[in-house]
Amino acid sequence: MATYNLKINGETKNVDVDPMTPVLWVLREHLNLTGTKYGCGVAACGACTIHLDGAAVRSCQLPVTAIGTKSITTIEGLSANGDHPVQKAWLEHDVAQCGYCQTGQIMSAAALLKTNPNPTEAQIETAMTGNICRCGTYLRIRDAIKSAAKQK
Amino acid sequence: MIKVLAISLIIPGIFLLSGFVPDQTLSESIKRGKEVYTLYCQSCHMEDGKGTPDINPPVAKADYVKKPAMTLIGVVLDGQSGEVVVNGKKYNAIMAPQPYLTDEQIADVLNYIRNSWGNKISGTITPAAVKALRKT
Repeated sequence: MATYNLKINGETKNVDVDPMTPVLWVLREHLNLTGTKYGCGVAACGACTIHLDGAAVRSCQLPVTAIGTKSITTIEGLSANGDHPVQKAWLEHDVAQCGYCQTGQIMSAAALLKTNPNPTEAQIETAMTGNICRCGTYLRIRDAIKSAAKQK
Repeated sequence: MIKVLAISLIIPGIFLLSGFVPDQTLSESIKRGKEVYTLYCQSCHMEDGKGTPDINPPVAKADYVKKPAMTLIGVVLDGQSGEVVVNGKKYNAIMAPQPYLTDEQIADVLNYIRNSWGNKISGTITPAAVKALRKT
């Protein structure tokens, strides 16, 4: 076990965990931030996507020891009141069906729009390829990202 | 006359087979490999192969990619964890084992990586080479 001071959603959190613990489990089990979901556990589905210094990463394959001084943003910290442009567009388009993948989808979309505020359809598809939706809401996801890009 | 004609066709035919067909095999493998990369590698190593800064190492212009084919096949089959140094920088994320990919998919994706974003590593990785390294 080792102690880590992690910058999560603007706050510093202290955790005492094994260095190889994936960040996903630190968030869910130790900090009770259960908005980030466990999907496949092998970085193949995107459900566990968080931001690390603004970049979308898969928290299930990220040992806590690799974080260092980087800041983590989870779905809980993406916006103060659930009003990030991507979140608003999500409601506008009724994107979610079962909703399990949407945390990861929203985090990936928000990271995309941060680096590329006006993505083409092809750029959206490329950036979102790693986020799988078993309900098949891909068309609504794409439309919502286009709306969010316009809002910005 | 027929003999002469036959020979005149066979000899250039052999040249064509030895000279061009392997190149075509490689270019087709690279093309298929791009699809495999997009589905299974890109979310960490990124479309441009540059990885995620300080977390997931680059595959573009990476010294690690120059390692022997056997090593690279092993990384895909067995995954990678613990500290790894790529282009002089330390990385410590986990790469999941991906033995569920077929021999051809693994060969294709490695051929794609070894020949993209400025990487130019000679030789073609074959599905047979992948098969030989699988632990049964």
